[in-house]
Amino acid sequence: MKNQSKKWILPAWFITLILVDFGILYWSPPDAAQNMGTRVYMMYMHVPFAWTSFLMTVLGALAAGIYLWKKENDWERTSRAIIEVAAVAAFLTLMTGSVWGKITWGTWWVWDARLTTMLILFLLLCAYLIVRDMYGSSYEGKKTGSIIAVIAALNVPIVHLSVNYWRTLHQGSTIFRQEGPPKIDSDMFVILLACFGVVLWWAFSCVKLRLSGSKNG
Amino acid sequence: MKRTIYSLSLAFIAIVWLVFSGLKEASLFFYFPIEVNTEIKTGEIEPQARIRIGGFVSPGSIETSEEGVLFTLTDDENGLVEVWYTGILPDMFAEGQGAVVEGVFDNDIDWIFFADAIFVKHGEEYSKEHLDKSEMKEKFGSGIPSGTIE
Repeated sequence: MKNQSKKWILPAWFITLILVDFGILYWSPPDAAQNMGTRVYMMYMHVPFAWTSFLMTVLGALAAGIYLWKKENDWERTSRAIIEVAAVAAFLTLMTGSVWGKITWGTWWVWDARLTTMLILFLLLCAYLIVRDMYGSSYEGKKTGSIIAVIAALNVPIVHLSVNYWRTLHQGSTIFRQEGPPKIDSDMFVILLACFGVVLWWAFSCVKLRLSGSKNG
Repeated sequence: MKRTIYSLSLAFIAIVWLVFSGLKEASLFFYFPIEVNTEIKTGEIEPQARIRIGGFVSPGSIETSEEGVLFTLTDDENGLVEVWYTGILPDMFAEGQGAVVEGVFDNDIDWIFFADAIFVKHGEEYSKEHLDKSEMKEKFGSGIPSGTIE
């Protein structure tokens, strides 16, 4: 990085991460509503990664859409940087969800609608990365990738609504419900938002770092 | 360019087909006990089919022995399925808690469902204090967590 002032970002992020971790360990209460106990802590990793993967997929697809419309390479570069982070976040959503599933449901994986649609989202993002890598910096590669990014974004609402429209093992939405207040204590909600903030910070830093790098590809 | 469009639309159709044929099964991840009670009799579910049934563990129904555990799954419409399971139970398995079981019926033994997998199904309510029904209702809009039954 050319800019010296950016040097504080990584340590600052790391310190925040540790503070939030301590927040979870010492301040966040175990769940008593349904005897989940400290197993609920997994939510603070799983949910922020899930939200970040959704947000990044939609933002990446918006940039990809603008590229398809205006054919300006800067938009394509931006969308690729964002989709890369979305893919990592989607992967971490599946991993943390798998661990949470093991300690609560008693299984690492089931083929219910939520898990299946989320896997499809991850695979679409992988398809994007493969296509962008395979075609190099040709127009075909950029165009094909951008179309895949848009398709991935169309899948995002399907993933979110899957727990409402299909019968799933996965529980329903706690925060973004179709009606009614969030089904969570404010203490827990605050920590969840802090964790989301840390993950978002990481995500946007990755995008920024990627865009400040070489302009090739 | 045409080739790209053709292959893309082909891939898109393939994905859509995969999603919907896959989700047809996934959309019905489990039957409710009441559906099993009626549809097994009408033949809509084959008696020997490998299925999943999801409901709540009836309070007071768990009988543990050395060989395994016997319990009843129920639902909001008083469907009842007796389940026999010999494996390791998930930690959160409890009376009143939601559960999905996977296995087959043995109609030689009075329609007992022989499960070889059990998954706990929990709700989306999180709270630091144990809430009684009215507190829960006031806070979350429903008297009990969505993954449990009284």
